[in-house]
Amino acid sequence: MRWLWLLSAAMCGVGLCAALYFYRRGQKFYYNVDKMLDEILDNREIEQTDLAEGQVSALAGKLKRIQEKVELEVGEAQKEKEQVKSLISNMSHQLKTPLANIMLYEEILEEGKVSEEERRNFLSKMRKQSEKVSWILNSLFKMVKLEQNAVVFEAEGNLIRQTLLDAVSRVYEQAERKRIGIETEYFPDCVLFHNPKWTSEVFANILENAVKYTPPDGTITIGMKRFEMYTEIWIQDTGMGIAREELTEVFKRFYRSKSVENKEGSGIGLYLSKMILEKEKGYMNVVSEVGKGSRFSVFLQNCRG
Amino acid sequence: MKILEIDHVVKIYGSGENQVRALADVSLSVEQGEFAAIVGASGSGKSTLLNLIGGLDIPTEGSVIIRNHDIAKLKRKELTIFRRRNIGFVFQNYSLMPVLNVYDNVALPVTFDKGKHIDHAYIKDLLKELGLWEKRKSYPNELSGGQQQRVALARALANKPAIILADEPTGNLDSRTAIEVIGLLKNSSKKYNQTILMVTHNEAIAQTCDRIIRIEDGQLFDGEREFYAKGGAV
Repeated sequence: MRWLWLLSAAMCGVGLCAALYFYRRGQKFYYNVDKMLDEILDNREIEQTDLAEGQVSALAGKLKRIQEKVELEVGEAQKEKEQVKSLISNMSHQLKTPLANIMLYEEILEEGKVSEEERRNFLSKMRKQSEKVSWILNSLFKMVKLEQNAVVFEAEGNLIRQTLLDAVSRVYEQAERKRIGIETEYFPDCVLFHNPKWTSEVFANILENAVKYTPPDGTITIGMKRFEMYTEIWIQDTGMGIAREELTEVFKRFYRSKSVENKEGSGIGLYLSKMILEKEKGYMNVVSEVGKGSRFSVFLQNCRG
Repeated sequence: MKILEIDHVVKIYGSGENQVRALADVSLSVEQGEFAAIVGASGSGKSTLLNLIGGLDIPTEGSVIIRNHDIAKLKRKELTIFRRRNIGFVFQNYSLMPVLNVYDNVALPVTFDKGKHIDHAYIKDLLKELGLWEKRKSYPNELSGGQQQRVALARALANKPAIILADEPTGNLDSRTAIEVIGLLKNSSKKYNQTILMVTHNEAIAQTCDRIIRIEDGQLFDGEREFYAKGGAV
């Protein structure tokens, strides 16, 4: 009988020791995590190493990432502030010239010492300048909204042909005036993951560029290629082309090629397009040869179940 | 925020007459969330650079700093853990485990870190994003090259690493499959705010990136990042 008592007492002892051990371990774990959290709250660097095995170290790694993320977000907010500042100065810079012109024409017209023909000429110039102002404002607003994630647009499976047709009809007149033909190759209608309104903006941007940088009597060809996950819609022009070093740069905000400095443009269009496509899980790229033409490709996701 | 800083790195292989200067005084920094391509001909030093960043090799001079850790100063054991938690690799030859199915291949790096439970919802999301959910029970040898590379990409993303290093990820793929892999790489970099450094010799593929870093004879040439508005003629 006695040994039974002894055994149960020993077991109790072991149990107690184990309980104490696990309690202590839990305490230590809690203490370590608590210390790291305090360090985060006080903006101090986390002392715990994130390069050892074990749970605490793995947590330290995660917490350091959180700290970095917060830092990153603060930095980004700062950068955004700077961007808004530079954007405002950019806007005023871009708007200054057309506005000054409008005021000048208005003054001349007010004086009234012009012939009927001149008057009409000035009026048409004035309208052109006003159109330019409104165009710049429009694209700037779109850009700002997209950058600040202020527009949330729904992308879903939609037929692509109508989207493209909308874009083509927007540039058709301009192309006609330069006697540039717009042709389509094999282009079956299919459902692609996109938002029709914004995507037609993308196509219109590419087409507008194609018309702008293609000399009269050129051709613009549109085609399509299906892949496993994406569908490529390409737009080929017979324009001036883009130099190799500039192929990535053209998609950046406010970038304008040296060779087109005297052409109208703001360096927003392609940047805007790229941003729109990113929101639709698509992307775009360009192949080009100087003097022969460029081929812009838009990749949209095929719809999956 | 800078996630990677390479400061005046020199890498010399061999000694004496056989000395090869693979990298000559290279400095570079990469911001978090950037998708950068390193482009150069073969033998220009781009793989050496990637190996140094991945901690697979140690620079002769200079330092490689990732998330405030100087890689060259870490101990072997520390380096292993550092790599596991911070760096995702995508190789040209996919390097998938042939005996594991797609799902297990992707979950593998997560299971290495003891004490980490597997975030099944995240892996499901990843596989769906990369169009692999229907294939999750297939084995690598039942998949096409492009699909295998997508699995490798999902595996690299599974651990939510600080930086993904891709060494010629499309080298073994035909051009149409390559386009898809790059598109997905780009989308996931945006979706998961992932920093990606990709080595490639294909200019058309590099273009999809935010930034192109050219390397020639062990020296870097970097493109502009920001531009300021210039009004066009009126």
